[in-house]
Amino acid sequence: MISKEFCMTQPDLNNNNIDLNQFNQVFFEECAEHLAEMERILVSLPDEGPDEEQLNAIFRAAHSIKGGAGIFGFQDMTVVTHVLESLLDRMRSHEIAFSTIMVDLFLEAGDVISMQLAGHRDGAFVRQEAIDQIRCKLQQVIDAGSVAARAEIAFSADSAAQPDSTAAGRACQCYELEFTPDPDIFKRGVRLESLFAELEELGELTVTAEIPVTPEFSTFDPEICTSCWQLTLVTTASEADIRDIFEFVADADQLKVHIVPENIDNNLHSAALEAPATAGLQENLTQDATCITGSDIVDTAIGRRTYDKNELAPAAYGRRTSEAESSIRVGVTKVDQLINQVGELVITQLMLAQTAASLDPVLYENLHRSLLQLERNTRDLQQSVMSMRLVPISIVFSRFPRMVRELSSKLGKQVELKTVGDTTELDKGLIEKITDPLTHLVRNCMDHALESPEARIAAGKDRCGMITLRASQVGGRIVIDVIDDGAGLNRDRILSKAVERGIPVSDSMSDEEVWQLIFAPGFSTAEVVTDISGRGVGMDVVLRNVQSMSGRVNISSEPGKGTRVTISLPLTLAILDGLSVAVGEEKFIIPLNSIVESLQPTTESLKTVNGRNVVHVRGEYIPIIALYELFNMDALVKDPEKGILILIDVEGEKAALLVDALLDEHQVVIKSIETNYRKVDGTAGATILGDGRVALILDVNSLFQMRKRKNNNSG
Amino acid sequence: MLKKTAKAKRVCLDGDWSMSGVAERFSFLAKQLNTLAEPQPSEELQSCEASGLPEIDLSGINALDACGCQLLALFISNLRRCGKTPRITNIPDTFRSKIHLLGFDREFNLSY
Repeated sequence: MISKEFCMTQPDLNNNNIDLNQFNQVFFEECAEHLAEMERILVSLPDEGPDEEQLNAIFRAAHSIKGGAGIFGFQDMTVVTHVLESLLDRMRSHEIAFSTIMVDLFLEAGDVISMQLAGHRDGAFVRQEAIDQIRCKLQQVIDAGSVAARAEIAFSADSAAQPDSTAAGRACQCYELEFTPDPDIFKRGVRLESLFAELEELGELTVTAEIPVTPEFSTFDPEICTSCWQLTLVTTASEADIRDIFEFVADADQLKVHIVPENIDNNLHSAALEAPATAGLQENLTQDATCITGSDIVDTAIGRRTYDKNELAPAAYGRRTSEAESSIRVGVTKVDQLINQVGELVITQLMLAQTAASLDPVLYENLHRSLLQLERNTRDLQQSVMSMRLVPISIVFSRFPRMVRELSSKLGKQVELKTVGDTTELDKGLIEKITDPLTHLVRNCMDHALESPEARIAAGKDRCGMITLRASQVGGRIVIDVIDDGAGLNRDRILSKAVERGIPVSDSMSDEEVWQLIFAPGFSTAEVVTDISGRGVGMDVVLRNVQSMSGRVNISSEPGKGTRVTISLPLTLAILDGLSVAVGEEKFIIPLNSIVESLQPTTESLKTVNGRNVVHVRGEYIPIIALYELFNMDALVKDPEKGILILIDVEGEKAALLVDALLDEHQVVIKSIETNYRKVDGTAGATILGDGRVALILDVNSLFQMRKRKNNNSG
Repeated sequence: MLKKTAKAKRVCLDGDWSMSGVAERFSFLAKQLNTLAEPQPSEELQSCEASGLPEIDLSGINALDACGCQLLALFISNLRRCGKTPRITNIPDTFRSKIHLLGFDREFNLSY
């Protein structure tokens, strides 16, 4: 019943003319953070289970998700979190003991909540059966734990003095509830029918609504709640269970719970009388009807709400660290807009500098000094703004402990994951793109690189393999290493596989060159294809993805000692170091990271191979790409001998770009040409130069492809 | 939406009677309250008494929640204050169970 009631509900708050999407977005982000935090803790738990702080932190994450979901109207998300939270709460109160199976269960619950989150956020498909299953599993653990707890109490010598607070051990209890909600409860989008339906699941429920004072109709605000409710519930559930349902709806003084005395006599009365922990309750129990008010709860420390009232408590709901308090959450689009505007400012500053360059430095000394100051300030501002897009790489690294844990178990290997440099910051756009390549590399390490425990022992190694993820900033780039202490790459096997695949190889190839072969599409030396890896569809994709971020991949490996894959990425995608070159009337920017050298060829070095121009450089014949031909432009220089050749190298593929002249080295702000015009082949965007002209930024990879297409068409 | 008959006044409600719709429905109900609460001519009053009560027809509503129930309950309560105890009719089954779950049966004078 509850699943139907809660199935993918939409927020009911849309009527208030408030753009709820912005609030929802905040909830989505916070929810994802809580889930990540929960997972981080779960996968790092020692075998003996969580300590108090860890348990509190997991509880806090589940609690916050449930609270947020309730407040924002995503009632379906409270279903799993409610049961999860109940289980965690019982663990906190030592009613249920930790067992290792719970980690998998909690992780599964986190996955289901993530799925629900994706359903609301992205419209992704939500499997209702998964929700039902995990809810059922969690409930089973609660029930089993409760039974175990009860058995423990029964066997203890003074069991008669202990109150049996578990649902399984309790006879039906009759509760009378007085619920007087906040006047703005309707405006908050709280669905009382869902609330009462949840209560109804606990037992036999009778509800009576009352409007204590009938207001004058003409002056009445229909969105204000003036009603109160009297509810009678006959159930085996505890009072805490009942209060849990009202947790985000009613403050303690808005819900009064009376226990009808007959039932107390029958079951709980004698046990409760002697229980020291419920001494405050004892006095109330002796009265005709027990009325537990908010203040009683505070005194007797029953339930979670009381705990939450103490914001200093370790697991208090809404507790925020000082770091969180000193930060604000801003949408990425706003930051991007700011970066864009600062980019415009940089361009304007460059224009001013260029105009001022023609003015007499003596006559206009003050102007020149001010412009220098403006340049410094603009650069500082640009760096500050760019840093706003930087996020710690721990966001990516944090996903791997769970993956390693699950794959270790699946592969029967013992693997320890170590992360270094988690706080290294990287552009948010790059973070999103680097996740898949890193995932693939770690899976490869797990499946192929690391040996089985037996093989490791035989090789004189520790039975537990080690994977290290290390991030660091080196100059203007971020370097990420994926290091394993496995068997290392097998040169002979790679070479023989390359021969099988028709890739030209020679024994004189250096190790570095051999290792690069594994980036060939479809290349795999794995003898067995598993669902983890081995199909050879990965490393070429890793390389392509990294290259699409203007990154590079290098491999070093030593037989028997392990392999290191190094990914080098630019700090940001918004700024690029480039060389401006002239071709006819136009200017182009060539990314500096792809340039090897520039040269003026001699007549002897220029050759023709199969009708195509090449330049002979240090024993290599490098094809010449004439930019004017590729872009169908007029050029001042068409003879390579009279122009400049710029040697470019992208992952071993080389070419020489023919240009009229080299102009200057720039740090340019990248603008999307697609957004403002259309996709232009061979370019990665555009920039505005100091003279106000637009220069295309060349995409070197794309130039290679254009040249190949052109050659194919002509040949 | 309001149909007058010789014997009784009938208010047909339709649309959204949940939190998102009550603000729009409120002015309509306020008008109906004024109309229904008007004193009746003696012969008509007699026929009203003979025929029963003002009728509130819920067949056209497509959404109802606690907020809507409260508004209807207040409307009924104000009518009662004027000596007119209305009759709720044609409640769709889904809303009947919701009214019951929310505990407004007594306010609506419903029996099961």
